[in-house]
Amino acid sequence: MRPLPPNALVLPTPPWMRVLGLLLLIGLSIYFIAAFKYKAHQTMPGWLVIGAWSMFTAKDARHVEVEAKALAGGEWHSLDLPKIFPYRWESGHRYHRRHVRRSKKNLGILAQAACTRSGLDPERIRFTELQWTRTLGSFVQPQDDLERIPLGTFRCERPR
Amino acid sequence: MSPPRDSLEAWFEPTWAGGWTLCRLLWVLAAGMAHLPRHKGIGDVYGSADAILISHTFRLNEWMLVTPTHAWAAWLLGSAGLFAVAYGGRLLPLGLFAWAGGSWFLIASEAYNAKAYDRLLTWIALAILFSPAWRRQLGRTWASPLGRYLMIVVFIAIYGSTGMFKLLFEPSWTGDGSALAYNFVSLQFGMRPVAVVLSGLPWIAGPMSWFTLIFELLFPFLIWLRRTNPWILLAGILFHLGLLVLMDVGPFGFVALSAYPVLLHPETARELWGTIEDSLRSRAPALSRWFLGS
Repeated sequence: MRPLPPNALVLPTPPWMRVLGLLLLIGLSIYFIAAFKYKAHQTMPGWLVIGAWSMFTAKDARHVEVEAKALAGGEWHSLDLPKIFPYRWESGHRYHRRHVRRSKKNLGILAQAACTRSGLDPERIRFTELQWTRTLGSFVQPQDDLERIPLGTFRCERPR
Repeated sequence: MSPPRDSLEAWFEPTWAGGWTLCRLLWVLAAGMAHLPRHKGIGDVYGSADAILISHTFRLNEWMLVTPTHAWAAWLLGSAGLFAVAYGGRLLPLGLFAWAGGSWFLIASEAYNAKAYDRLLTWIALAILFSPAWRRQLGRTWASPLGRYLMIVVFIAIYGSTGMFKLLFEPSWTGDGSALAYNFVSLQFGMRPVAVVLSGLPWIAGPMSWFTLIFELLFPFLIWLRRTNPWILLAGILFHLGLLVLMDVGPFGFVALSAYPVLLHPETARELWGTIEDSLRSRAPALSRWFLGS
């Protein structure tokens, strides 16, 4: 270690803070270990969520998109979901999140919002999940092995 | 005589604190990249009148109706907090709490998009809170290493657990690298030009996977040793710069790198600072005085 300069300001850790600091470090380590364990077993309590890290570890060979259609005037019309729900994260739009698109309750809420926001005065909204295989090394991602998974059809409940 | 207390005293010996100034300023930039654009989502996902979701983790919307006015107030509170952290001094802890309050209020009201960088920003903020970062002229200050230890524990958790998940649950990370290749062509996170080309070259994607895995698994050990500390951080810089070029993970790379000045061994950081100190004194004396107090 190089010698301290003459104008160095040295602030030692008070003894009480050393013990508390050590306890804090141990507690934090236990918290992260618990988060890892629960994440591994996929039974994550809510309070551990901010300590669990597993970004991009799983192999995901399928693209997922969500499409929506609105029944208005006796015909099904395609909805431009990014226009209706514009805010986007790098992970995609809100409805891309697995826990959103696979929850009837959440989709029902988004459907009611789409009923109002679409401007079509629809009777029903239908969500479908599209899945297809990712193509490595290609800028074009053709919809190979396309699978359409119905997510639900929801009646517009607003006063009409 | 109390040996445990003596070793505790040695472990908490004051270390050079200069890295915290750069960490604080980089953290503000990274946190700004995460927080400031959220105003574009007010009315749509934050403080929405019609698309109010409640998740397993965030149940704020069960308790209150978050309006756009609330969301704007939270955004302004978080933004003001960032300015306070940038200003530093006694305002620093207040700024961190204001940022955390405003930012997490918005995240909780949206309920489903607490990103990895939001969580990491918060953990780094915790380390900053226990650091001497609020002091001026840290270039000549030696202070408690508690904040740095907290930072190291957080980064061991991040890199160590992602590495362990790869090793235990996804064999392609030790094989052909296809997990990484498929990430490169994700419609959301991927499709960057270089990444798309690399995704079709297993002889590159494979070694890149190995590099990622080895870096993540060795970090928890090599970060502690002064000799290996700069090398594992150099690997980390390459890892995060690679991520920034190849994938769209938002400000995650900037957030992680903001902690690196503190993760660097304090004596190595001080030596590094010493090499640029003289030229800074002659070329930017005001900056030198602010940082060094000399």
